[in-house]
Amino acid sequence: MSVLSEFCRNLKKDFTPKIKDPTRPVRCWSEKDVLAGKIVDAFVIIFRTRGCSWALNSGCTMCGYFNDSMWERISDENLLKQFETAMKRYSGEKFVKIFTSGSFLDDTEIKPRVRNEILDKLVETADKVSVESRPEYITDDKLLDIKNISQSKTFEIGTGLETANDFVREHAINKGFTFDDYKNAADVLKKNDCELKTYVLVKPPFLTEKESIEDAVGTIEKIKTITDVVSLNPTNVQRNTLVDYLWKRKQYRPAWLWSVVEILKRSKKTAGNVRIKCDIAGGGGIRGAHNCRECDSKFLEAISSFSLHQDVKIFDDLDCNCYDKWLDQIDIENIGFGSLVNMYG
Amino acid sequence: MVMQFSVKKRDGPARLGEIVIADKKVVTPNILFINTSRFKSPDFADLVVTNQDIKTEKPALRIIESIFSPLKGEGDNELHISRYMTYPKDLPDELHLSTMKLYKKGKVTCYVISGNKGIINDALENNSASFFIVGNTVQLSHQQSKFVDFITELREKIGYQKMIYLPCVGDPTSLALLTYISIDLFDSVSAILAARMGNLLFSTGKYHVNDLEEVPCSCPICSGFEGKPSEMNFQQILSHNYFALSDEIKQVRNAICSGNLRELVEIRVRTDPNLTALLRCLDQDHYDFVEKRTPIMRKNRLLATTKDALHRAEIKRFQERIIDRYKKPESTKILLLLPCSAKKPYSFSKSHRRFKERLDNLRNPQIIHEVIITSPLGIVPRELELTYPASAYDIPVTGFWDEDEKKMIRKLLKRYLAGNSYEKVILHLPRVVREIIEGIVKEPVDTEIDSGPTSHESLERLSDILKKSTESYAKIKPAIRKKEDMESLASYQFGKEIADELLKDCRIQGKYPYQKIMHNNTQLGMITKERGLISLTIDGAKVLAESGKYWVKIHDDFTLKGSVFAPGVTDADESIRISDEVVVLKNNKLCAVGVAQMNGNEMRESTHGEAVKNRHIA
Repeated sequence: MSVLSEFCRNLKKDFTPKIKDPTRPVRCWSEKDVLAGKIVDAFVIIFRTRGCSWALNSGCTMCGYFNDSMWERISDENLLKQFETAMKRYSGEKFVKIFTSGSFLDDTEIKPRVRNEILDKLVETADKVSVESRPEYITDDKLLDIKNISQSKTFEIGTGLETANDFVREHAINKGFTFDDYKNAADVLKKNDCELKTYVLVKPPFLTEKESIEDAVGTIEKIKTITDVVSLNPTNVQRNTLVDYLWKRKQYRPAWLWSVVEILKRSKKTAGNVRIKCDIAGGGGIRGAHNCRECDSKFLEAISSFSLHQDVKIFDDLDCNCYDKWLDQIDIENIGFGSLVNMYG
Repeated sequence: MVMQFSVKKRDGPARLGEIVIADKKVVTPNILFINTSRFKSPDFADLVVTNQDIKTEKPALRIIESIFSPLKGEGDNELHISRYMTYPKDLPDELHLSTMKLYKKGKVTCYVISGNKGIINDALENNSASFFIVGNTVQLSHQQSKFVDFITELREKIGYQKMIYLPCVGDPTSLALLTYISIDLFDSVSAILAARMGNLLFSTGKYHVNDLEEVPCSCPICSGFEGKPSEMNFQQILSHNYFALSDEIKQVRNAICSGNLRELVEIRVRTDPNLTALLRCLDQDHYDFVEKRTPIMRKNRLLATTKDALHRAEIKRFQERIIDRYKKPESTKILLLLPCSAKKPYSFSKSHRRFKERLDNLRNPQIIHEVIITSPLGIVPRELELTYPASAYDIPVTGFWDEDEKKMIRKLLKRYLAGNSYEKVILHLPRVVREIIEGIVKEPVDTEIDSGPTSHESLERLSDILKKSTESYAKIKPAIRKKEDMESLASYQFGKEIADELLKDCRIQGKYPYQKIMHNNTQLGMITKERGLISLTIDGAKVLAESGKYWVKIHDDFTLKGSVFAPGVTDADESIRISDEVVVLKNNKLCAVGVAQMNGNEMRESTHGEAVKNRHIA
C-alpha cells in the first residue's frame, strides 16, 4: 500500500458514522436535468450502504462520501426499506438517478437481488436510470443482467475518472485505477448499449489552480469521444479527507469559480459534441468552489444554466473585481512552490 | 554548466556572492523579479524568474511544469526547474519522503525541497544541485522556531558553496534578517501581493495607501506622483514596491560589505514581532551556527542598542572564552573591579587614564589585576581590552541596568571567580553596579564612591585603599607581569596550552599596546592595537604548528606566493574562525602563517576564494 493510501486510510481510522438508521436513505429529492435534449425533472436517491469498497480500504484524497455510509453490512431487507421510503416521495419522474456513495454495481454494497428489484421497479415508470460505479465492477455479466431488466430504457453509469492523467490520479487522488481501466469499462458499456457519464475533478490536492485547469481541460479533450456526458466536479472540502486535513491547515483552497467557467468555456469549444454539466457541491461556501463572496451566486447560476443549456454565452456577462486576484493566482502560484496556495483568501 | 556561484564576502552567516549564468554576472543576495505576461519585471532587475516562455536579456530562472502538470515543458540551456514535486507542508514526513522516488534528482542544477526538516537528509542524498529552492516557505515561516531550525539545518547540510532561494517571504522588512540566516535569493512576490491589497512597502513595514496623507517616498514613481496616496493605482503601487525591494537589498549588500549587517537586522526586526521572534530563535537555539560564521575580530563597532544585541554570538563567545580559556596573570593577588568607559579601548579614555595614574603611583601595582564590569560583555580583564568585541562596542548608558544584564553579570563574575582566585577584591564601582554584584564577592573592600568613580574624592580614596592593600605584598617585577599579561591574552586567543608554550622563556618588549614577544633575540609575535590579537612570526607559528590546532593543510605541489586560496586547501581545523591566526602546512610542515579569511569548514569545502591571507611565508 502506498504512503498516500496509508495516510487516507489512517484519516478514517477513528471514524464512526453519525447516522445509524439502515432503513432510511441518506437523502432523496427532485431536480432539473436533461433527458433526450429536454429539460425534465429528475428524481435522486442516495442509498446508505456499507460504503464504497475503495473508501473502506483507503479511499480518495478528496472524497468524504463515506461519511454517509454505515461502515457495516446492511441487510437486503433494509436496503429495500430505504428504497420504499424513497419511493414514497417519487412522483413518476422520467429520469431517476441513484447514488450509493460508492458503486451501485459493487455486490458487497448492493447484492444483485436488491439491485435487480430496485431497477425492476424503476423501469416501470422511468425512461432513464442513472447509477454510479467504479470501473472494476462494470462487467459484461452485470450489464447483461441490467439490460435484461431495463430493456430499451436508457441506462447510464457515472464513473469517477477524475483525470486522464494516471500520475495525478495515483499520486494526488489515490483513485486506485488507471485510465486504461476506465477505457476498458467504457468499451464494455458501449458494447452493452449503456451510456457513460464521466466525472472530472477540478482541483485535486497538490495541483495549482492553473495545473488543475489544464488537467481538467486536457482530460475532457481525451475523453470527448469516449464518454456521453462529462460531469465536471470541483472539489468541495469534505470531512475526514486529506483535502479537509490540508484545508484546515490553510494548505488547500477549493477552486475559483472563474476556473470552473474557464474549463467549461475551453472544453465546450474543443469538445462541443459531448454534454458537459457541472453541479457545484458546496459552491460559494468556504469549503466549496468559490470566488470572492460578492459574485459567487451570479457565477453559480450561470454554471447551472450552462449545465442545462450548454451555451457558453451565459458566461459573457460575468465580471467582478476579484478577476485580477484570480489571474494573479493563475499567473504566479507555481512560483511559490506551495507558498501561494491561497494568495488572497 | 548552466550556473556558477562563488562567495565573495561574509558577514556572520550572511554571504555576498556572485552567480554567473550564461556568462552574465549577478551579485547576491538579490531579488528574482517575477517576469510573466502579467507582471513585467522592472528595468533595474538583475535577475528574473518566470514560469512562461518569455525571452529576456536578463539572467533568468525558469520554472517549468511540476510533475503534476499535463504539459511537459523542457528547459535546456538555461537555469530552470521542471518535473519537480512537493507536497503541502503539513503532511507527515513519510509522505514528503515518498515524493523522493518520483521526483528525480539526476544531474539537476535546481532542486526544490519542501520546508520540512525531517526530509533534508534524504533529499540531499545523491543530489548534485547547487541551487536550492525551499517549498512551502510561507507556511514554514509562520512557525518561527521550525523555520529557523529548517534553514540552519539545510545550510549546514548543503554547506557554504550552494545557494538557497526562499520564495515569497522576502519583503523590505525581512530581507536583512533572511540574508543574515544565509539565504541568497528572494523574489518579488511580496510586492505583488501587497500592491493588490493597496499596500506600499517600506523597510519599516507596509502602509495602506488610504492611511497615508502624503506619499512618504522619493522613488521615481512616488516623486513623479501628484496627488493623494489613495489615488495611486495598482501598477504605481507595484512599481514603488519594486523600488522598495531593490533599495533594501542594496542596503543589505552594503551592510555585508561593511560588516554591519547584524546592526541592520536588529533595526529591521523591530518592525515585526514575527521577525523579532525569528532572530531570537536564531540567537537562542542556533548559537553554534552563527558563532562558527562570526569573525573573531572586525573593525566595526558593535552597537548594542537593542536587547537582542546582548545575545550576539561574538558576545557569548567572548564570555565563554573568558570562562573556558582565559587565565588571569598568575602573580596578581588583588582584583580591582572597575567601571567601563565610553571610549574604547578603555585605557585610552579619560577615566581609565586617571585610574592608571593612581595605580602607577603605587609601589607594587603589578599585584593588582584590573577587571572591568560592563554590559553587554559582562567582565573584561584589562589585558583583553584591545580584543574585539571589548575594543569596539557601544551601549547606551543611562545608569539603569535591566534584569537580564544584572543576571548575566552576576553569573559571569561568579563563574570567573570560581576559576581565578584572588586574596582580596577591591570595588571601585558606581553604587548601582556594586549592588548588582553584591554577595558574589566575599568581603570586598569598597571604595564607596557616591560622587562618581572619577571624582577627586573617590580617586583619593582609591589610592588610599590600594596603598593599604598592596603594602604587605612582595614586589613583582614589571617584566614578569608584562609577560603574564601577554600569556593571559594568548590563553584567550589560543587556549592555555598554546599560551604556555608560546610564552615559555620569553620576554615582552615595546610600549603598550604595541608589544612584542621575544625569545632570546627572536621575535615570535606581537600585539597591535588594530587587531587586538597576537600576530605571529614564522618562529612563533612553529608553536602553533606543533599544537595540532589552527592548521590549514595545502596540496603538496602547491607553490605558496601570496594568499592561500580555497582550491589549494586539502583540510583545515574546523575550529578556525574568520580572522583567526592560522598556520599553513604543506606535507605537514609549516610553510606560512596568516589570517583566516573563511572558517575552517568553508576552507575545506570551497573551490573559490581566499582562505588565508599570509603574513609570513617560510
